[in-house]
Amino acid sequence: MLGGLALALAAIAIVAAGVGAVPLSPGQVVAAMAAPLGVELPWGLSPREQLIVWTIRLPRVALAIVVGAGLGGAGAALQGLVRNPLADPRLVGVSDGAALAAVGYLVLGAPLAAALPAVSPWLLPAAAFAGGLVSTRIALGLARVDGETSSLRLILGGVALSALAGAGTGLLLFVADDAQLRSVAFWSLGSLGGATWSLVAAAALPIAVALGLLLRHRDDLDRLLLGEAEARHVGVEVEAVTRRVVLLVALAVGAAVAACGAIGFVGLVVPHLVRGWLGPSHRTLLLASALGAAALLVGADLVARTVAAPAEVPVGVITALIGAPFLLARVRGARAEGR
Amino acid sequence: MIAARDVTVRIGGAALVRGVSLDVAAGELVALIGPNGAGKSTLLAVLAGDRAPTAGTVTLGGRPVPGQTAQALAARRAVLPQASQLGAAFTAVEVVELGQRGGGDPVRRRRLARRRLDAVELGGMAERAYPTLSGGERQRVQLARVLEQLGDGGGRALFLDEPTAALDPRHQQVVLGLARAAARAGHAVVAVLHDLSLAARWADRIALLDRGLLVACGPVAEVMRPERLRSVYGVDFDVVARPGGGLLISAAS
Repeated sequence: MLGGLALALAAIAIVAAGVGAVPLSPGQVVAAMAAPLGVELPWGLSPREQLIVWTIRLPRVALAIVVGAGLGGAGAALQGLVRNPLADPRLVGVSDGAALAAVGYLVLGAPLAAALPAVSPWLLPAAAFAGGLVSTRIALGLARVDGETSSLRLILGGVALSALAGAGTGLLLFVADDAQLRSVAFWSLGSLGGATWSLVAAAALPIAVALGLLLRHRDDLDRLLLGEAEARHVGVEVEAVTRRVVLLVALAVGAAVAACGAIGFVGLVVPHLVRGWLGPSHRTLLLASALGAAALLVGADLVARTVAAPAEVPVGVITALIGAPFLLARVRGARAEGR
Repeated sequence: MIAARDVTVRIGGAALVRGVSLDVAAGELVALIGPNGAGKSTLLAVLAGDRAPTAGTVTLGGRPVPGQTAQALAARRAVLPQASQLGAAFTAVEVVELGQRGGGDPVRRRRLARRRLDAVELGGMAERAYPTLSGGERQRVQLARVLEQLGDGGGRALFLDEPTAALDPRHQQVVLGLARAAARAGHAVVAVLHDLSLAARWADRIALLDRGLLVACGPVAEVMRPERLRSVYGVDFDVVARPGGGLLISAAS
């Protein structure tokens, strides 16, 4: 299963890397990727095309994979932690909190960056992480009643947090200059347009760490599905696990938001589909959600940059177009179940 | 095995459990009975380590229960709660595997879990999705999970909170039979029960709670006296010796 998903991801990534103003066949993309390894493949391409693949197409596809994997894995873990399939990082306000902190840093943080030049490249991701952590804590705190997480409170809390983050961003608009204004739009809608290899690396490191550590909690997350009291009965240190999973989710979402803004629904749709397909066990769910969400985001970004070419639609708009009807169907389903 | 000394639980101003001392030895099944609000579930929660007593001490195998890590407690006792909130679409056999401690060969784990489902008469349901099972079937899957956690070696404690509430008469016998088998295997078993005849039929000893106080604790025939039951429950009881041993207890109008 995981192998099949990985193959599908590789296929869509290679196709996506070929699409653009200069069209390339999948064979040419593979040939371009193989060239630095000294492997000659029969699909010829010019040095200029080679350059396009390596400096424009591949970083963008790689960023979509990294960010998609982070959002998918974080979404699956968050949903397992609160035993609620609606806990998407964007929907519950985590992404918006991270985005607000990131925008706040961009608009107001120049003196801080000047004071700490050595660490200034990491200040933006750190701000997004902190914003994500604070908003995750608030969202889960609001939603928990007697150790259980209510869907209604989760969503209402998310609405409140998003509104608050929106108000904060609105205030920042007043003090922002023109360039900053453009970046505010970028953060609130999400875009992979800024992809460079260094940005990919800056996002990949924290996301890989977060996903790797979340995987170690797969059995704990399975047992938490029994309910908090029962999980404790079978030996899960519920408080410690909750603390750690929240931290790792905020790390993954913060890194994703710092790289490309708040992209919604990826972490909602994919884990839901995977659960229906492979079952609820986090042994497969976490990795399959990461791979599936990576493929979805690569595909969504492909649509975002081709549907109105040469202009670009923000990728967050595309994922919302896919995800919002999906959420409506979920809510309908939940009503039919009487919850 | 289980030892409670002068356990008191206060929540807000109300004393839910008042100065209860209770010992349960390995190898015996003790039924906790009493009217609604008598403190049965609260006392069970204290014995199982879910709740720390306001005053008094609880030990399990000689070690104080409060303050132990979840993992340490899980190795010494298992708990079957009144109702489960599990809504995830695990199969029945996967739910049972959630009770297994530690890793190990997945094939072997699956085989053990299936055997446990056979024991609760759900062998044919192993691959069914848990949410599609009936209430009684779910309760038995949860019991299989709890027994899988407990293991067959003895020397641990098993806490059951109204294990028979959702079950038909035959499966009530199956579940309490398994609880008694766990006791005979060397575990100490405490079960909250509402059905007095079931308690009389399956328990080695009865602990009767009334408004937080342990008013009687001993062999079945000693505790199950009509006048005592009337004073606690506020209703008359017929207590009739069954041919072949045991008591039939029913409230009389």
